[in-house]
Amino acid sequence: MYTLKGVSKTYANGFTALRDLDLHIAVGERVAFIGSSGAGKTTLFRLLNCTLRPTAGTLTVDNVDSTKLHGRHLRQMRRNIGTIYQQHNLVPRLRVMHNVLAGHLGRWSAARAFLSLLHPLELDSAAAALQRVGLADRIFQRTDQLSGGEQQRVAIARVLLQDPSIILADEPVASLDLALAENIVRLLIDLAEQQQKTLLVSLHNVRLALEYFPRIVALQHGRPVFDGKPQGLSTATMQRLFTDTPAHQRPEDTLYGHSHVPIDCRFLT
Amino acid sequence: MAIPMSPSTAASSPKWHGSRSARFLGLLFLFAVVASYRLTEVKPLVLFETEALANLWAFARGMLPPAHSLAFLQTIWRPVLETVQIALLGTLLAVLIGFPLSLLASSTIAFAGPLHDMERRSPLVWVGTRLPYVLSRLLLNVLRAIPELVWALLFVRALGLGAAPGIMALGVSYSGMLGKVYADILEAIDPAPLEALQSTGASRLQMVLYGWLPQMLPNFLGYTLYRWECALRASALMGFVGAGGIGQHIELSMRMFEYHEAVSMILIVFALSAIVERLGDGLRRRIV
Repeated sequence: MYTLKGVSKTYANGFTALRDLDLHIAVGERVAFIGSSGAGKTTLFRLLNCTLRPTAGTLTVDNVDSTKLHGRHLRQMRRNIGTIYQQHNLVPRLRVMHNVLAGHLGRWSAARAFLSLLHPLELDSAAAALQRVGLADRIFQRTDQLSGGEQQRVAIARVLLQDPSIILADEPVASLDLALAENIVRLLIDLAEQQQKTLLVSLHNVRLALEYFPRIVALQHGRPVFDGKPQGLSTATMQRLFTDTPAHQRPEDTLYGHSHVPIDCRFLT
Repeated sequence: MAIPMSPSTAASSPKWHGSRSARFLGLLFLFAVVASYRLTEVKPLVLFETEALANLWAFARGMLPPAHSLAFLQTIWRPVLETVQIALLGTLLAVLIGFPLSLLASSTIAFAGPLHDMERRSPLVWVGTRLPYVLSRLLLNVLRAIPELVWALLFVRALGLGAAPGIMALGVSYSGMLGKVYADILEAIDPAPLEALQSTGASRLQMVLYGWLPQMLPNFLGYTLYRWECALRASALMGFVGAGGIGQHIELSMRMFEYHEAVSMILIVFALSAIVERLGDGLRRRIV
């Protein structure tokens, strides 16, 4: 499925998030990525879902070099990779149905996408997906009225509609409480197993990773320091993983140079 | 008990000397104010000389009571309505011109930021994505730089007297302001949902529809309504240069020393802008 050779990523501000990474992931695998914040997990996932380009090395998805893809072919590739983010990945002002139906965008024409905003198209598919994540009654609500856990399930419903063969989940439970977190991880694993999808998840919570995933990849300073079965992960490695990593340079902070303060437009002319 | 302080620590403590550029700019500003005062020959005390006071008094007395005869109201209700129509249609025209331009003039939609990291890197693409941006920003600047009354004079020459030049003047000059602010709003939008949309395989246009537009809507509406309010006041002035509306009649009454008529019309404009403001506030609250 994925083959990464010598992949590095340096952002425009000079911060190197990934260094010389080699990785191979087979079809249908379930892999958990662990490591403290700033270890490069988020950057890696952005490379894997073809929204960022590696600054060095090659990344192939199904033997296709991701950096050689453009326009329609790139969008087709992205359509086949579904991503669930930590949070803030839904459009808060849209109704739940539109956020879920956005999973169709890779297939829909722009005209169809526009029409659907005026009057929702293929609403049955969104209803079915929301049913599966247990939010059938929320379909017409505005998304920002939902709790964090519910929003995360809306994001999963969107990926269900997108129906990709790879599911990436970048810290999907970091902002949720523990019981809810386990719930969401189970849901993702069930979905992946039922439809034989490849599932890659990055997790802060090491216990969840060890319990639910047959393969663990640990990152530190943008490099893999462990890759194997959870049983092989020693306490010493674990301790090394979660100490001495500077937490100040999170990729979220470095990716977007400017802050997003809402403008009070009355003061602009 | 006093803490003993040796001379050496006192000497090493940092001293703030102020910023040189701030001092320079402050002096420059002071100079500009004094020079302007001298050059424009402002004499505020003239206002308190007996002749000026007498004039003011005559003006104030002439204003009372404001004209309210039926005949007067019958002559001005059409121009009042026309003023509202000019403001409404002018703002609408401004949105129709400014909004498409703002999509081109938003750097985050066109080329800037991590959403464009996978784009093809060729000189042709570089130019192709930046050229519309630069041209639309330039056009917006030009539209905005010329005041609406100057536009009105131009359109009165081109289209003749009446409401049409007023609508065109408002539409053109306000499209520059609206377009620039819309573009700035679009650039300030939270990119996280956009990134998620992109990862589903959405095209740029689809991302605009599902990400940029819904997120910009509250600010878009707020600013447009505010501009509508401004347009109402501006359209009351349009008549002074012959571009329709109540302004023509205000100017005429002033010139004929019929101050009581002028003051009624000014009060009507005041009431109208208050109504529009309340309307706008109500709409904003419902949408946001």
